Amino acid sequence: MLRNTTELSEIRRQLSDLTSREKRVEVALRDLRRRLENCLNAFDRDKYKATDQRLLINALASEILIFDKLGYDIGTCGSHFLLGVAALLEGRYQAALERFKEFIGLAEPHDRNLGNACFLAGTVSYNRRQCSQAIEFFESAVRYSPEENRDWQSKTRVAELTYFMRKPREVIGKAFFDVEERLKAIEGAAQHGFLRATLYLKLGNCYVGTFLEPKERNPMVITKSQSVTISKPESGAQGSLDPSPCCRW
Amino acid sequence: MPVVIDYSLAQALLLAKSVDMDLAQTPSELLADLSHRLRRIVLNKREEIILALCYFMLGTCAFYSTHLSKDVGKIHLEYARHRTLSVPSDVCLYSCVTKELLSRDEFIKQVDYYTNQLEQQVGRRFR
Repeated sequence: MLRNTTELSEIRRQLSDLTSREKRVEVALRDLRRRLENCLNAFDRDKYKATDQRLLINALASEILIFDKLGYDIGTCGSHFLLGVAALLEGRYQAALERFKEFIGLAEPHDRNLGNACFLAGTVSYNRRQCSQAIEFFESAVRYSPEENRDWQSKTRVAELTYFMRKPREVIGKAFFDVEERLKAIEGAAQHGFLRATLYLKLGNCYVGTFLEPKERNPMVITKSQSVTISKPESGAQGSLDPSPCCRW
Repeated sequence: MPVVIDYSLAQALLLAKSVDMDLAQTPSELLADLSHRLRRIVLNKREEIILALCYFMLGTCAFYSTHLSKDVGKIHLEYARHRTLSVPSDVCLYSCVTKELLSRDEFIKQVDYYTNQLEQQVGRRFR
């Protein structure tokens, strides 16, 4: 009887410990969710690399992973987005892309970070020269952006990617000039100058001659030898022409 | 972004063998000027990809500008090489020289090409 009472008392103590531990976990989880929500609501894709933001994102990501490993559900798909950003900051591109894809699949259509996830996934694909995939993500970023504040930065990237993919001149030109037309509609807006400068820089880079010969022929640049070949196809004496400024590296 | 614009502008002017009267700077002076600005910019950058690109730009500025030290250019290219190797192998880098996305190895090849060219320039100076 005495032994049973002692055992019962021990079980009670353990149960109470467990309950208080679960309560502490619940409080910690609630606190984490609140901080995560604040971070996601304030997320700015142009400023997330700043030291304070980087530290905050890394700290939150570590906490999320601890709870995840212990089997606790964070209860918000935003955690995938944040883990994706943390992976991106660490240069783990594949992991970042997987997290962003997961977030894009789970997020509500009105989630403010849906466009950001598409943009960042597009950036990861861009950095890995997965051009078609990058175009899809950037196009999605444009689609998810609010009509009054369209994501023209993503649209400019799409145009640049058509150039990287060495699409025909007309396709590349059309992609750039479409964005230019759209930008005219937002003249005077805060971001207008920056967006136009970016667009013209990227467009100019399609036409500019290069110090070394590019890996793949650029359809936007007509070299001197090409223009002569077109006008005098019968000569075929390219060796007598001025040497191209390009050289093999 | 202004330094990137100036780099492309200087590149276009150099290749066209012309000067822009509105700039009141020769392409060589323009490259030297943007190199000074870029050196300040890299102090605030931490991303390996950005640093690799910036140091590559700095190195090539030294190669194409007569106003910059070739030895310093070589050091910048060494930094560029070092930074590029810190980037994951599946990452591509944008070459300011050929205006295309290059694999890490291809990018290093360009860095090495300019390093060799600068070494030859320095070598000729001491001969």
